[in-house]
Amino acid sequence: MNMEVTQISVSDVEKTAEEMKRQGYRLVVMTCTPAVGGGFDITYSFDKELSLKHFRITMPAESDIPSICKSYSGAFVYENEIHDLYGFVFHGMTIDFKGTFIRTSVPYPFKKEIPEPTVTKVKKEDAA
Amino acid sequence: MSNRRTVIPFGPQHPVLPEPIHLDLVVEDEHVVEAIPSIGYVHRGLESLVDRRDYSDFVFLAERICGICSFTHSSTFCQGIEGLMGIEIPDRARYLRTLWGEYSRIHSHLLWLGLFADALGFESLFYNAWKIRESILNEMEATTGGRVIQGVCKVGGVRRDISNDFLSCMDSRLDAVEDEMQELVKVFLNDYTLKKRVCGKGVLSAEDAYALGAVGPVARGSGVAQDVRMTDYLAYKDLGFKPIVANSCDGYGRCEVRCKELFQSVDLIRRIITDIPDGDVSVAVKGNPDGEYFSRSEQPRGEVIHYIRGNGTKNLTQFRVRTPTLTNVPALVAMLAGAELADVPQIVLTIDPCIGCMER
Amino acid sequence: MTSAAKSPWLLHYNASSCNGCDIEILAALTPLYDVERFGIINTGNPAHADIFVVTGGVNEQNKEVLKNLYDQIPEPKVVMAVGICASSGGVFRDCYNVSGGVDTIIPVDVYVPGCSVRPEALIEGVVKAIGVLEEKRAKMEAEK
Repeated sequence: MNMEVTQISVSDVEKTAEEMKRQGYRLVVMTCTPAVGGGFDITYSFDKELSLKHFRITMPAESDIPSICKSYSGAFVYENEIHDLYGFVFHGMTIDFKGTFIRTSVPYPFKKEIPEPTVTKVKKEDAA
Repeated sequence: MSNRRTVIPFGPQHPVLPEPIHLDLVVEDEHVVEAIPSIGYVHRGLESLVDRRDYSDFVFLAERICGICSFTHSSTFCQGIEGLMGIEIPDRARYLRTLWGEYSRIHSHLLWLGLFADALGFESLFYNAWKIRESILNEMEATTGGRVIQGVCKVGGVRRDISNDFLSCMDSRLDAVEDEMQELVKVFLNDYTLKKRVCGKGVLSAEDAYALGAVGPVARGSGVAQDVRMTDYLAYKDLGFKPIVANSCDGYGRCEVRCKELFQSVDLIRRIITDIPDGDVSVAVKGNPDGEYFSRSEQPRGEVIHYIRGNGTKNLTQFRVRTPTLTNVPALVAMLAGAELADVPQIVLTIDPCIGCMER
Repeated sequence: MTSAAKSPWLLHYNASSCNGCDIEILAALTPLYDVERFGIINTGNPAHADIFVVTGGVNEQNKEVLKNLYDQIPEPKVVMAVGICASSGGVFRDCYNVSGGVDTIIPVDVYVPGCSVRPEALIEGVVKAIGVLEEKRAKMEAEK
């Protein structure tokens, strides 16, 4: 499993997606996670003949991101989901649900930059 | 009268759907012009629980992402943690996970075939499919203790072993199941009425399937040979896997792929039972996961991705799941455009929607 | 016994369950367990239903759907919470989007435990629900 992640800048997102499309890659997933040094990582994973390629942008919360729907029209499901759970705004989606794709009881439930303090219930020696 | 558009809501509660999904169908006369999906009726937000449960407990939650793909979810999650911590699981555990994975594929495909028959109004066929499925669930219960939620995977291997005697009994019981499935599949693939309902409905070309990122039987039914089992995870490397592909690009193609995969799974199970090595079924796990990992495997519905990130503590910091149904939604939207209103329920079913998975 | 008690119709709704219970409800209707021999039929129409079978721990988006369906079922009606999530929220009770149990939204008469529920337990639950249905009907008659 390839875990190599290429860091790119936000202005290159559309260009990278276009390039991947041209090379015949398939969009596998867009993953949004809090970044180690603050902000959020959005990882774009592509697949060709079962080998994965990952690209990552690191963004401050609530920033604007260009959509990659021009190259991969199916990306709207991931982009809407990331909008609803993390609060990022994507521009140029094929279908824009405007925050109604997944309705949650708290707005943007995953939008906490630093994970909450960890609670360890099981002792180390018991876990084995 | 023409060019008058109406919006017809479909779901969330609908007789054909055991699970809620909502579609706004924009129709012109009887033809669907556009379908806008709306999800979130089953969204629980279980990924947010990773900071409250430690990684070995979280296996149970990962299993409950979905009740149909439960086994594959737990094994994919364990595989991710093992990949992160560099744990090599014993060969017997690898084979057992493959065995249960294939059994759950048969159970899931039979379940789908039944629901599909029901959506077409063919109730006796639905009952027949589910009758055969019970014998698969019996094997599951006998070997793991659970019918649909097994709880048998753990980080470092599996909780239970199956004795070699019992494995050979399972092998002999498969013959009867295979015969019954042959009878069933004959109806699905040859029945005149059934073919009338599915052939040429919900068309998805191979190019569209690939461009929209379709996975699993949806992609394979459109001639895209895309199956994670071709990579070397679990025991598939030793078994030499070849994906099943259909080229009709419609509902019939997707049905055909699932029907044939039933027998492919039976063959895989037989090979596993002959080849399974002896030995332990789990290894001791020490330490905590640190780093990030994309774990992927083939569920009955297609490729699933578990993204796992840990920081060296008991609790993972991030866990994200991308399930096959979510990636198949754009493909579904493409299939529905141009369909007749009366065909919508069965076209929705051909992607084998698993909403519990899709929304977590 | 009235006709409703001899042949109660079920309406099933998945309120954010993992669908392990949903497939077991369907399994209970199919040949091995075959609750149809008791006259029980799974219907898709709330106006035809007597027993409302709910699985899962009710989330933000389907609260309204659940209330709506409940209101559409004619009196007398019985609500069955199937599975541990529907009874109390189960493993998902800590999730931000789960309200924790069907009884936080609509009144529940019968609780069926299990994760996932076993078809045998489900059949027993339905039998209990028929009892409750009969009681409710008798009460309605008396009030007339």
